This record gives sequence, structure tokens and C-alpha cells, in this order.
Amino acid sequence: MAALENSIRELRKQRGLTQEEFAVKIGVTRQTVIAIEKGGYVPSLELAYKIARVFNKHIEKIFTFAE
Amino acid sequence: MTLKGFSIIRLAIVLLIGITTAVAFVIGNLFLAIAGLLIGALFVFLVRQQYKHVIIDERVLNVSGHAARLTHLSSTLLLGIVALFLIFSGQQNDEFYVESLGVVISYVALFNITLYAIFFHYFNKKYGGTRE
Repeated sequence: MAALENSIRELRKQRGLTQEEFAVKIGVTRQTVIAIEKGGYVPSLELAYKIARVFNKHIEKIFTFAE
Repeated sequence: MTLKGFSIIRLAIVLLIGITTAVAFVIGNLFLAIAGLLIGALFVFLVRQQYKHVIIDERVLNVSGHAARLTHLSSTLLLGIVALFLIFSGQQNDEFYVESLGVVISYVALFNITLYAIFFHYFNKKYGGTRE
């Protein structure tokens, strides 16, 4: 089964951001950040761009499509 | 204000509205029930204005959409079955009121489906859906 994996947790910790702070930066709730980090929710393209902008990285460096 | 504080205040307001409405119905005062609902809605709105953080995001909307679709499906199906049962039962036992109730409930089910279709058409159009 194909799945979209991400490195948000690691990147967020590297930058010393809490889930709450990160949620405020990308305009979502903390529960959504938790869900995305756990892989339970795949964000929309718009949200993925916002996440990429916070980390100053390309989307494909954060999200990887694993088969 | 934290999310927890906001949730507690909102729950308290909803409880107060519920109690006020129940008391209003018991004493038969419709004005009190309507006033309670309006004041409660106003308080929820004012508290919401104080809470600056995001409460509804795309995941919440996604979850709401799934829940709404399942609720619509199950409630419409249930209403349809109950309506059919009441209509046939009323006809067999010559109970006019039971049959009428069944007809009313079937109209409610049809209204449910119509409303869903209208909203579906509206949002489908809004989010770029075409019939090509």
C-alpha cells in the first residue's frame, strides 16, 4: 500500500518549535499537527506548501511517497 | 484564552441554554426558550471572538464531511424505513393517523434528500465540479 511519509516532527524539533507554535504558524489546530506527524492525515497541497515555507524547504524534501 | 478554557466556557453556555430551554418548555413559556437560545448564541459568538486561535481547519472539515455524509445516509434510511412501516401498518389496521404520520415522515426523508442534493450541487459548483 502506498503512503505519504513526512519528516515534519524531526524538522520541527530541529527548529525548536512546539506543536502548538508550529500549528499557529501554518494556521491549523494542534490536533492536526499531531495527525500529520503520525501520518494519520495527509495535508492538502496548500497546507503542504505552508509547511514547506515554514521549514524553508521544497515539498519533496519533507514529504516522500513510499510504496 | 486557551483551547481548554474556550471548550469549558462553550460547554457551560450550551448547558445553560439546555436548562433554560427545558425550564421554558416545562412552564410553557416560548418567549423564554427563544430568548435563552438567542442570548446563548450571542455569548458563544462573543467568547469565540476572544479566542484568537484556529478551531476549524481542513482536517476538521474533512472529518465533519465524513460524519455529515454518514449521518445523512443513516438518518434518511431510518426515516424511510419508519415511514414505510407506518404507512403499511396504518393501511392494514385502518389507522388513518398512523398512515398520515408515515406520510409526513416520508416527506421529511424526501426533504432531507432534496436539501442534500441542493447543497451538493452548490458545493460541487463552488469547488469547480462540472457535468462534462
